[in-house]
Amino acid sequence: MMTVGSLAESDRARAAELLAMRQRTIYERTDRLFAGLLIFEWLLAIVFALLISPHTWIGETSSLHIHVLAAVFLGALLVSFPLWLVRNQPGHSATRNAVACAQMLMSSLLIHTSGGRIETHFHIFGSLAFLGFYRDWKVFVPATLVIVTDHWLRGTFYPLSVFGVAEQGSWRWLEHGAWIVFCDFFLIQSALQSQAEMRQIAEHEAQLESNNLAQLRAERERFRLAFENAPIGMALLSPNGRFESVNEVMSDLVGYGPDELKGMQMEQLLEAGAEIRAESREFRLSRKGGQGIWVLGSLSRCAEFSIAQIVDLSQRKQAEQALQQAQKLESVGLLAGGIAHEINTPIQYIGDNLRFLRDSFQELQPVLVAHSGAEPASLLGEEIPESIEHSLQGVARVASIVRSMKDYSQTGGREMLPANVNELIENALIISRSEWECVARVETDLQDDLPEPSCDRGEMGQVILNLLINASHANQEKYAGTGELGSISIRTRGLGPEVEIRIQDSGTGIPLHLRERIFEPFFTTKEVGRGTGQGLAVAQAAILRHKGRLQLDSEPGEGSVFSIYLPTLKAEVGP
Amino acid sequence: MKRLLFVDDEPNLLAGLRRMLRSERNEWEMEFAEGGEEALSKLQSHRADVVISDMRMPRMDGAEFLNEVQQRQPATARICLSGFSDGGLIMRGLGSIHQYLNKPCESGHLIQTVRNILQAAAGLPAELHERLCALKCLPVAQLTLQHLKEVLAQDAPCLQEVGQLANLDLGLSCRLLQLVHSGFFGTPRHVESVEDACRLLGIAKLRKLVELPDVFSSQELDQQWLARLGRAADRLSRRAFSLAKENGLSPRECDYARLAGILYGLPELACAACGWPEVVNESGLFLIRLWGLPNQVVDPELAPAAQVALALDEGEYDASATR
Repeated sequence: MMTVGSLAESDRARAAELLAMRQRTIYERTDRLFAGLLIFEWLLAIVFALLISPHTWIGETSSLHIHVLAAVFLGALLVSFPLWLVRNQPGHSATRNAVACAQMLMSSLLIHTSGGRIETHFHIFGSLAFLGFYRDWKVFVPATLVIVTDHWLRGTFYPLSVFGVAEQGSWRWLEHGAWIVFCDFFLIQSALQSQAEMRQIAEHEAQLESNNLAQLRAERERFRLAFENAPIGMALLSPNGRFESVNEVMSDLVGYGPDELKGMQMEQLLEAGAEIRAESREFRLSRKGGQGIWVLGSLSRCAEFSIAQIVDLSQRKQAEQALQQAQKLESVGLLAGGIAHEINTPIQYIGDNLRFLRDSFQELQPVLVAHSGAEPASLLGEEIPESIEHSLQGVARVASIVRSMKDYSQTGGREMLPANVNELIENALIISRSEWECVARVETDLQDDLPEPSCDRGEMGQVILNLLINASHANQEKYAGTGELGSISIRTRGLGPEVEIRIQDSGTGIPLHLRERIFEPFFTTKEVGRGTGQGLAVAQAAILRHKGRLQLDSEPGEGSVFSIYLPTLKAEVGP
Repeated sequence: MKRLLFVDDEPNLLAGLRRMLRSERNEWEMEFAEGGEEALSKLQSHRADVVISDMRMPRMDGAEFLNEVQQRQPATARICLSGFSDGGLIMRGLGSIHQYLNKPCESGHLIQTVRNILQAAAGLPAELHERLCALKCLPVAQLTLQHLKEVLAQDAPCLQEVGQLANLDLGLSCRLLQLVHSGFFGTPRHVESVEDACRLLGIAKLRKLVELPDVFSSQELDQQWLARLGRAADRLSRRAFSLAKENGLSPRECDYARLAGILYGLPELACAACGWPEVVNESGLFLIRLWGLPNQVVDPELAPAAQVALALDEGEYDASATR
């Protein structure tokens, strides 16, 4: 059992509060009981008065006995004040004391109406016991004073009404008073004990409460920490979808501060067509500034709030995209290898046959000329040899395209080997001819004895190809429909420990605010279907893998220059 | 008359070759076969001096066919004429393919290659010619080969170390130059040095190559002599390079001088490798032509470079490398 001393200050106050509440309940309940009892007793007093001495005779006249009148009017007088208090001030000590006095006076009235029958005095003890319901020792004080005073006054001046005899025994009221005090003694004991127990219970309760509260607080703290430190974005929302609180990850994810989010709706963050539901699903969120990101999220609705949980998928999506791109490149590479092999064989024999035709025709030409008129001279002398020569040129061009495709068909282990960058550029130009031919003049200024940086030929070829295609698109955007041609100039230089590849276009240029973003994956300014938004991101990643760097200079409206710098680690060979 | 046998699964290609080579019909007798089996049966009735085969063919592929030819008629020169092929197929044929030409191949280049080989062969004793053709590879010093394997087995082998090792072994140098200079693994490349050849092949390929039986192998030869020969080739190549530089030759010519220095000891090694009792100088030229090694070192137009190399103090060379 807890002792009072062990209670904390706050607990003690709470115990007092609990005790007061409990007491008040008891007081009010007992007040109501007494209200009923007093009314009942009043009616009973009237009945007694009527039964025992309803009429009195003075000569011929019979009148209603004074007792009946006393019971009716005195009783009403006694009962009305405490009833008013019970009604208006329940639980107050004044009410209790008034009730105690009224109850004792009611006993007196009963004694009086019963003609001072000594048995009716037991009602007093009943009343006292009933007052014990209050469990408040103080009520016995006015009660005792009132009844003792009543006995003394009536015993002195009107003994018949209290003791039922006319003789005035002056000390009898004292004897009665002593019995009452005797009874009070036990009742007060009982009340005090009851109070002490109630206090103990209240203290116990207060302590339990405070323990529970501490536990509750600890629990709450734990949940708060879990919420704050969750590795995923979490938010509590009001039933109408407004943000109430968010954790740090969430606010980082969407780019809005916690305070900014408070006024916002979940729906405001969803990209068009995206939906957040109870089950986890992938959708796109729109960050502050409009950038969209892939997330996995769910929204669980509870009665009073909803919980949104969001996981950032942009890294995974990026990896998936890169993998897809790599797989695509690989399958294209495989295909290119096979196609190259298939094409090379016919090229071989087309070339062989054309050369045979050329040589044979040369042999036959004099004979043919001798046997024909003057008319077909130009045919035999020029057209046929020329057509063969043109065909041979065409075959040579096909052969060079197929050779260039080899750069993009490295199917074996991707390895960093010294590569002739000029060759990569020439091959990329051959492959991308259709992209630039109609929009730009290409000028190349390639250093002859360029050092050879270690490259993954396929990857670096792809980088150069991407930049060339971008340059063509930039030119096209600017010159389409003007009838003019833009220019693309490509320059290579060995600069100390680096090789510089400079690809300059005269296209639209890149506005300042986009210069960072163009390297982001999926960022594209091209219309749908034209670009995947991967080109520059892939290029930059590839160049970083080569321990090189990609530099951009751009003048909006004038054009852009992309410069690749690759380290050359060529060991000095020789004496 | 010299006999050539062309093998390809594509009849049009064979017909094209036939027409294109019509100008050579008075010099060479040419046969065409549409597959390995047909070619082998043709070889049974007539031997061929040069076999030119595709790699990717149904049923019997080029590697299998050329390995078979090597077994049956070692004296043939075996040339591959193919488009892209996967590495595995080529690796299987490395012991039997002398030279690799990529499709499409200019007729002039093909004719010149064959003509060069036949010309160089003419000056050789028949028996030596046959032994040189049968040679799967040149001997590599046991210690060097072991060392090379160890270096390549490291987590991140240093290509420079591999290059230095190769520089000190003539057999290894020649094989590496052959692989890069002929079109085995892509477009033929001109290289300046053995280190360059290593870098162009890359670690992954080198690792595969050292595990193959017929690419680098050591033979029952005097190991000390082999090592001396390797050191001499290294020294000679440096000497030739610096001499060429001193004489104000162009960088390219200096490189050729270096290569000429390396290959100077080739006749000695080649004859020893096929157990020929004396050194026949023509054997070096023949191997250079047969294997498609840098031809420029014997190209008359590049005479200055070659002369620088050859004008070196022969006494020093002989003293350093005598059997």
